[in-house]
Amino acid sequence: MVQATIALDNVSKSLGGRPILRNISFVVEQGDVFGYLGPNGAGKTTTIRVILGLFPPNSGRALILGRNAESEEARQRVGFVLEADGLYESITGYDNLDYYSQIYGLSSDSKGRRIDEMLELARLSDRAGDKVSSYSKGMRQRLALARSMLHDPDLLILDEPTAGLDPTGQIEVRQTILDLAERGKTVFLSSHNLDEVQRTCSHIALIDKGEIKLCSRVDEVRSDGVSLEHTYVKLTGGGDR
Amino acid sequence: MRQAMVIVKKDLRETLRTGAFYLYVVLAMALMAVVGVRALGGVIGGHIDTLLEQGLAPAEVVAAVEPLVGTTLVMLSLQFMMLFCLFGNAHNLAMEKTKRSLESLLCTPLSLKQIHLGKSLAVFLPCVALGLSLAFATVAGANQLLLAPQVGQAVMPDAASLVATLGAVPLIFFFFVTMLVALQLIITRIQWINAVLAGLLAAITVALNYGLLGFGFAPWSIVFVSLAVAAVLALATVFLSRLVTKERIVLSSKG
Repeated sequence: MVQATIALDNVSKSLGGRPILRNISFVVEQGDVFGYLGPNGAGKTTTIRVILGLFPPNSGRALILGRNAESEEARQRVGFVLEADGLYESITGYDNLDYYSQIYGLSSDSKGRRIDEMLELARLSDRAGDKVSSYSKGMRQRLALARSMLHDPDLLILDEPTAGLDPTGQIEVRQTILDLAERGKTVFLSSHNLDEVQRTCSHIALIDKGEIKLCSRVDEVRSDGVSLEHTYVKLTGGGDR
Repeated sequence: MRQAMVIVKKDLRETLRTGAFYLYVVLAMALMAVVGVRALGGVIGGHIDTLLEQGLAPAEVVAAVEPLVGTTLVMLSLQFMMLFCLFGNAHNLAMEKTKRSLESLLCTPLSLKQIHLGKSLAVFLPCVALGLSLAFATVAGANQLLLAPQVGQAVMPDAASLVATLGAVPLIFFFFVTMLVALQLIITRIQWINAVLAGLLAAITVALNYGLLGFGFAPWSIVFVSLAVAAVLALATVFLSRLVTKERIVLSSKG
């Protein structure tokens, strides 16, 4: 039996006494590009924090590759780009990657080569020695993506990865995601951009008011000629919370 | 420990690239010159004058003021460490929370203990190095300029004070820093942290002074009192560490 990359089983989470997630369940298989959609305040970020082991569920289980999401083993196999890129501005792009490569325990033999590869992928080789504070939004986002792939994770969690990127940058990120999926990597992509989700994702889940309203293959949603936009508006009412 | 040192190295690199760090070094050196040398020269120099007027031989005077010089060394080293900590690099972590780089760090395989230890050592190590260097430099400067001309030789701190300065004071400061880091990890408003720390700093100073008075400045009392203060801080750190969770850190990062 193939092990699910992400398995949320009846996960509920309250913050400050307010329920944010209500009995959420879904499974993401290896190689899926899984789009996670929902209005602002629907519970997307909280779900990501549960998957990344930042928030323990009040009830239910969150498993990453068969391990508890909070375990160090699970986090070793996950890469991420959060809403805030989390880069250190006062050190260089290279030093940012070097720091994370040490945290992930890359050997000193492979570290330099891997950092150079990632900088090349992010088209930042010529700016690697500059402080991150001098980078544009797009460069920062590309560096964050490079950082997330440093340790060759099995699962990549991306929260709005194309936000702030110019059209060329958006296309490159989408292509990177598709390339990763081709190599058998699993991508969990939280996005507001329905067009981006349609272009890149094989599966989607739609969350609203802390509940999963839809979980399906993208081609199934669109099989009756109904657009993703139409389904989104129908299920969420189209508004932010 | 190896992973904690990865955090330490990166944080030190960041600290050394901040202009504010060097400004605080200059400020501390000015404070050292004005307050440290003046206090040592004024108070201890005055005491030496009194003893010499009473007809004591210079060697007896030196023996009599050694514990005073030692106690001053202990208090100065602690104060210099606290100064660097509070006004120097202690706020790096608060900045990391604001910029959300700490949230990314929490998503890595590092454990909370490793992050807590790494962040604490990143504050502790430079502050101890600078605090001790400046305190010893102050005593050496006061000796050279003020005390040695009076008694004809340098007045060294007594053995108990040296043990307290090099052992017990860094221990007090380590637990002070781990408490500071724990509070910074879970408290949202930095003003509250500053208020708590100002109170803590006052409490440590009072505890040391009252402790020493209680022992009547007996030999080695400074070591025992300092170790007792360190033990209380260690217990408080253990209690605070239990409150530090990833969820609390992330939620308190919202500002």
